[in-house]
Amino acid sequence: MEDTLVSPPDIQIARGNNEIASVVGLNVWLRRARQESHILKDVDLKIGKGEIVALVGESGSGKSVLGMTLLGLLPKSSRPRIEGEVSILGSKITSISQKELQGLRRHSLSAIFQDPMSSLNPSMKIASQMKEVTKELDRALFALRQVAIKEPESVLGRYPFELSGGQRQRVMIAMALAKEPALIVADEPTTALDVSVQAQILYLIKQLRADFGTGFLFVTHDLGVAAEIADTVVVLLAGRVLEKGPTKEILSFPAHPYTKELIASRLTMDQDQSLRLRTNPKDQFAGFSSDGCPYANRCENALDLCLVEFPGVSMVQDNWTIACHNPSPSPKAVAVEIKTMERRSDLDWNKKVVLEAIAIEKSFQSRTSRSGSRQVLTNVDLTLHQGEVVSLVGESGSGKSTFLRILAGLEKESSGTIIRHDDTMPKMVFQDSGSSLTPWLSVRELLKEALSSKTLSKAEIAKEVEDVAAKVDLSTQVLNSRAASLSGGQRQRVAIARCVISPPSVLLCDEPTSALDASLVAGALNLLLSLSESLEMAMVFVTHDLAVARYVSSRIMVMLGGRVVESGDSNEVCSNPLHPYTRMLLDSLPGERRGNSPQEALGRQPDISGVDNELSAVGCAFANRCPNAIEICRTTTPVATYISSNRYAACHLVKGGTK
Amino acid sequence: MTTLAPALSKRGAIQSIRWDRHKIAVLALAAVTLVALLAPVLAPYNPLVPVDQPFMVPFGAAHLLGTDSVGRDVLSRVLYGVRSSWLSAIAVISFGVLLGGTIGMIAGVSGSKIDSILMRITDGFLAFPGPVLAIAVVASLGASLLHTLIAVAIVWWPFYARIVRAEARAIMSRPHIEAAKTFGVGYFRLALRHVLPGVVPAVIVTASLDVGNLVIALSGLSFLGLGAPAPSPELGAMAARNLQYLLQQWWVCVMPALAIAVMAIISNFAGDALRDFGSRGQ
Repeated sequence: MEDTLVSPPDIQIARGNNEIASVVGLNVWLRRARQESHILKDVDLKIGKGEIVALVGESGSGKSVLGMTLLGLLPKSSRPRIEGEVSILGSKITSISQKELQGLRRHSLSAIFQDPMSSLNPSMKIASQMKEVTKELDRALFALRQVAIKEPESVLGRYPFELSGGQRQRVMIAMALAKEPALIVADEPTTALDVSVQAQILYLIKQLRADFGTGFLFVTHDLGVAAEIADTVVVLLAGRVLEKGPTKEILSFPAHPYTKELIASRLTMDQDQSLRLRTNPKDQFAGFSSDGCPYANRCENALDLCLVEFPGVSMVQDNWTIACHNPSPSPKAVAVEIKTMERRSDLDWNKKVVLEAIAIEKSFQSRTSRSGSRQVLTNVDLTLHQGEVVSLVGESGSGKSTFLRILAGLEKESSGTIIRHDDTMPKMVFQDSGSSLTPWLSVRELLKEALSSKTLSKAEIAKEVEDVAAKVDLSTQVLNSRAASLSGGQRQRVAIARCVISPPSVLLCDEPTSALDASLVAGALNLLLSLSESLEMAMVFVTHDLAVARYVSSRIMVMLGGRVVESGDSNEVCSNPLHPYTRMLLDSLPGERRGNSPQEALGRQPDISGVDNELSAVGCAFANRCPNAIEICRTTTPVATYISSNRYAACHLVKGGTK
Repeated sequence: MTTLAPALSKRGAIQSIRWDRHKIAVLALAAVTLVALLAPVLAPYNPLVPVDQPFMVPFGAAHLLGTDSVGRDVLSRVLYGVRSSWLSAIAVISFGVLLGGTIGMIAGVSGSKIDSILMRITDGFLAFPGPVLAIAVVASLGASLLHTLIAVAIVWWPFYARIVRAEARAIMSRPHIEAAKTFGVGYFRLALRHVLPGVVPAVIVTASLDVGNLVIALSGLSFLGLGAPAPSPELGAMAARNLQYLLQQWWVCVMPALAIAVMAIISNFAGDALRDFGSRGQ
């Protein structure tokens, strides 16, 4: 576990000298909902030349506010009050004039945001947007080449919507770099991207800071990403810095109990599938006194002192500090000892089949050209047994969500057959559970209408609702409140309860954890798995995260360009991928480089040639990106090659037979 | 970025002041409605018969707004005028909301063919020129408030059909509708519980803005002689008939005009206020 989170020690940057930004005793108050709240508390931070500082924390921890403070971009409307010192290249941005601040931003500061689509002007071509920063077209072209974008000349002539997500983010980075700033604030720059593109972008950022000596403040919620990219990690909770120090040391030997929990709750490839995930038993949202440690209520080491007084900063090593009264006794970072009812990979193939999808194809009428239609699914088969969990993984655009929507009956297949063996429609847990709940209805009403049997009496209905609420751990108070007023975790549980109040034989989950904070993911997965077992529901689980797929499912189907390119037992697919595409997905997982030697890790660096996830039009869809591609890959689409009765890959290089 | 979004979406600094101004606007809307309803109680004199000397100056002890050319109390006539304009406006809007809203909901929720047919019919009505239709109706049926209202209502409801349909379409494309469908929620319940509550705020805002528009439109028609016939206290007609006294006995003409302006302004402010409350709630 410790080994997997360590980043390759590539470019050694001298810390301390050549300081670009320093934050000393920073306190920030913002007005929200007509109340002033203390967002950042006594934050100290230094960013050196060419250093990447990762700011890690849950949503609401104040990490974005810190980034905005460094940029001098806190919204005026929230009437920010800043105490303490923020200096960038020696000038204190809290005391300089607006004009000087603008000058500083123009020449030495840049920002990269999460969603490049909304940060780029949709009505301007890339060329004119880049010229605002670079003045000359030549320099814009040069900047695009720096970020290894393919065909930079043609990209310049396009609008943002004509580019892929990865290309857009590259353009944003190119714009940020064009003026050769001293500091770039990157706020979750890879969260909206596919893992494979994310790996490319992270590698690119590391290269660029080495070439230009740019300092980065890298805001992220993902420890894996931080491990991959950062020299220094700063752990933030409720506006307080709890731990700060060199990435390798912190992630291998976390000193603060909160950091330990963050690391322990990460779902990794080594997670034992027969055990439940570890969740923090204490209520995360219990209020805490603003003077105490924000983690005190959840902390297993908490002393009485922790509740009332925030601990002073103490040194662990050089450049490594924590703020904790009682760091020593380490909580057991192990899975809760609840065995699942069966080891899920020992699935009984003789169990009855609940759902069959045979040769599903789907094409959408193209809007731009009259003649063409876009093929999104080609010949997808799926047989689902009672109680079985199957994961569909793949990059965005691979057709996995479309397939799920067809199974749910939300989309009509163009050809192929779906056989639902017990005639009930599958239920679906949507990706963003918040928006799948009608905001003005009460939870009770939402649950009631999901009951499939319409012949129940009032009392029976009420009882069903109470029962399902108990199953997913929702209080009566939650039942009576409107969907819009719930927290993220509650919404997720309501969405799940709505599906299981009349248990379907098949539950479809579309990225059910991707919108959740890391601390809630484990609870949601535990809940889904225990329901699937107790109700004998089969589940189809769409995810882009192979670690999640491996943990929840017995079978993984890897999709690419609307086809299933690999399928098999989840452990086998993850430990011994047959298709080079699966291998690439596994290698792209941040913080999951299993090669321990730096050379090996570096040898697996992603290709940054800017191909992104472009698909080949003829032949194997992966041929463009495949390191092993041979002539036939570019001309003929491979068919499924079986190496055992339930394990196959669609690759010309895999030897085996047809079914 | 996510943490900053709520802060950016609010206007912060001026928020607390707006709050109070907004409250006042909505209270004023309620007050005008109350005045309209209670006009018979509030009016000191019978508005239809002469009660004193003609052209008594306003702000006197007996007649707050003076008397008109035949000695009728201007205050009483204005109060009754407010009553008739305001209640007529609300009646036309209620009709519009009911008919237009129903058609808009059916079109928005069902989509496709039914949507196209209903909306083309709506467009047909939208194409009628309002004043011309009013003149035609009154010319053929005779001058009466009811006839004017019928004419206005015919051209007014399509706006509501369009608004409700647009809002319903927008809500229908949201994920929670798709989710509800997967749980087997029927169309009727879908429209009533999952779509309608989301449409209501927009309709309330539009309606309260619209009261002012209608007051002006109806007064305009009555100014042209297309409202209730002579003795009845209509604000537009009062302003029109007493225009000749504007330079000497200005109050007879100005007071009803002022009442129209006040109603229009209050309705506008209240509409703005309700819109802001709505956007804050979401």
